[in-house]
Amino acid sequence: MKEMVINKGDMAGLLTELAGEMTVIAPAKKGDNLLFEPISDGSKAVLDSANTRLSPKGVLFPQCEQMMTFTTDRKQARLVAAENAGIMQDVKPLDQGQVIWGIRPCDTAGFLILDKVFNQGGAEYEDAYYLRRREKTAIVGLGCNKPLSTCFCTSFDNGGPFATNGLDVLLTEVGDKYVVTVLTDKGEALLKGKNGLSEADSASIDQAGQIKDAALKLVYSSIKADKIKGKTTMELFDDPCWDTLYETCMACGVCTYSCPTCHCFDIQDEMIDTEGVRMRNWDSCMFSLFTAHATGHNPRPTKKERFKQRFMHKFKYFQEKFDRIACVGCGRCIQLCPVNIDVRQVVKEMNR
Amino acid sequence: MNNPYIPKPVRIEEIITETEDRNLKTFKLAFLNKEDEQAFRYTPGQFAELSIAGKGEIPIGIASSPTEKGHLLFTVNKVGVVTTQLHNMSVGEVMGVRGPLGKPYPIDKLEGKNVVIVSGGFAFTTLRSTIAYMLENRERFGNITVIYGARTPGMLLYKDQLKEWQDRDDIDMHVTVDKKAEGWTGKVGFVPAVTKEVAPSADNTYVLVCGPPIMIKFTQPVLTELGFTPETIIMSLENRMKCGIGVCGRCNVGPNYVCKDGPVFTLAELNEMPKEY
Ligand SMILES: Cc1cc2nc3c(=O)[nH]c(=O)nc-3n(C[C@H](O)[C@H](O)[C@H](O)COP(=O)(O)OP(=O)(O)OC[C@H]3O[C@@H](n4cnc5c(N)ncnc54)[C@H](O)[C@@H]3O)c2cc1C
Ligand code: SF4
Ligand code: SF4
Ligand code: FES
Repeated sequence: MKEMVINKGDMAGLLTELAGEMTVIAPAKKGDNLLFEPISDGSKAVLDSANTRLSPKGVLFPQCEQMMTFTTDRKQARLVAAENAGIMQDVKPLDQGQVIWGIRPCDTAGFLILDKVFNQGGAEYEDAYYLRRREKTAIVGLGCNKPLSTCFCTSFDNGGPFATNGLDVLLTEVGDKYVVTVLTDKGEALLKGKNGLSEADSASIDQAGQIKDAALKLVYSSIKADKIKGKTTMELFDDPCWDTLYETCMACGVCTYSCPTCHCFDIQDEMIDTEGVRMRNWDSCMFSLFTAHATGHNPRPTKKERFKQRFMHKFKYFQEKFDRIACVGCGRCIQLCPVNIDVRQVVKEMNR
Repeated sequence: MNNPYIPKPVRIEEIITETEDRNLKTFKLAFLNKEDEQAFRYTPGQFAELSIAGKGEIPIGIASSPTEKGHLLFTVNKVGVVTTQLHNMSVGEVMGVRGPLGKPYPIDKLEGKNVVIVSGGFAFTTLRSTIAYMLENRERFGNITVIYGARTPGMLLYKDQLKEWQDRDDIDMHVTVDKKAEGWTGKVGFVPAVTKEVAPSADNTYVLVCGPPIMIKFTQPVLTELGFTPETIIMSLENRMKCGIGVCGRCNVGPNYVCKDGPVFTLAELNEMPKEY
């Protein structure tokens, strides 16, 4: 572990320099929203604001992405099939490395959860699209000096506003500087010889420690889910709490789109003339068509079952499969839900 | 890096219209590349994603048996976008297959045991695979009893094969139709009733049940009455799917993904799971 410092005024220069070597993705304004966006001008990075509206999961698992391309010229299919028609060609993976700069520890934990989903062991279960990006991506975190009232990143298995799990580098805002903690070889290689960085002085390191301790105290909601593991799936599934919790939900899907750990997707073919692409797009278990069969049968026929699925998945099913809860406490779903459904309240009911 | 989403190219070798309503066709597919054929090692009960460029992919049970080399069989009911396109395709055209996917029937557990197969309608597909496999390895299994029903004689799948099996003396076939029909000399009656009448012994026996929900609902009590325990009743689920490899989050029933942890489950396992199928 190596500690360095950089003056705030030098950060834009460093990011611009980095952007000459690789894709730099940082919180930046897009219209009214703060989102993780590729930047080439380091001064566009916004590191002194609350977390982004959408999680950065899209950097590794885009909202829409091409999976393969094809042509459907039927005649060709019969003549030169092995070459061409009707046959799927994988898209080209990223040829350039990338860095996600200024990700919060909660969203980093989101990637650690997605890692479990997209790599379940054995070549037949490796999600090539996610993993090819993942291996080309360095992750530079930004600790949260001022967690919000909706944050609960110390709950469950999550490490709080300065957790370093999954990070290559952690930035801590200390007055007019950032303390830059290098955590991995990847982080070391990323920052080697960059302008603006210097060895950290002990005063800055001490201050960073104090800021971290103070921030931990600011995360005042601590949510217990300890009893959920001990209950059977059917006990929780049949719990009467579901009879009312779902009632105000409008099934808009905002919670799933903004969530760093929601990973459901759809696969669709799109065509122009005889040229086509197979795409994957985010989908949501909150939508009624999600599970509907071609015959009209729907295993989750009402909003109640669909609402229940989202929470059962994150807090029960995921835990059974991967031995951790699939919520990182970022609070986005609480902030954005149009009818004020609060995941903390739902978990409280499940944990009774 | 391997990319499990890329379908392997296959050519349609033959298309057989199975039923009188012409809604069910069997597609005989052969891999274009020898390596792909060799890599596609499957066991009865597994399924594959059939891919049609420009239309999409559908999960379909593998109806052929691994003992039938050189091609794969899939029997497809015409219901929506992809299945309709498939029904409109012709011999010689190229499409894709991705798999094999899912957990098969527990063939190793069935070895040395009697096996009863109860099926209705077009859910018979992976059971055709199982029967063909068992007959090819006949000495490894005890008695084999098959109860299979359709609405009418014209709606039965694999008619030629059924006749062949009925002529053998090492498999006990009970083919039934819902109502009396002209020229039909076989059994008449619904599958649960015929199961009750045939009354296979539950002793040292596994039963594989696959069919429409209504058939399953009425067959289950009959099997329980005959002494089958939930551990010996084996079923197969069909949830809506996309990825087929436990990633896209679409097909779960409780903590289990039907595509990866299923589609084959014992009744004992299903009893612990929500009825979201
Ligand atoms: C494990 C498994 C085995 C199956 N085996 C067979 C079989 O042997 N023969 C057969 O005829 N059918 C089988 N089905 C059902 C078959 O997959 C659907 O009928 C088919 O996907 C409908 O596609 P469509 O495009 O024609 O319908 P549309 O309604 O146009 O569907 C669009 C998309 O929805 C999805 N979808 C819709 N209904 C279903 C469904 N019931 N199950 C899964 N996905 C669905 C598919 O991804 C499809 O591409 C099986 C399903 C599963 C899960
Ligand atoms: S469920 Fe809500 S709080 Fe938890 S990770 Fe998802 S968006 Fe954040
Ligand atoms: S954001 Fe709120 S209203 Fe919208 S689907 Fe989620 S819980 Fe329901
Ligand atoms: S089909 Fe994607 S998880 Fe089962």
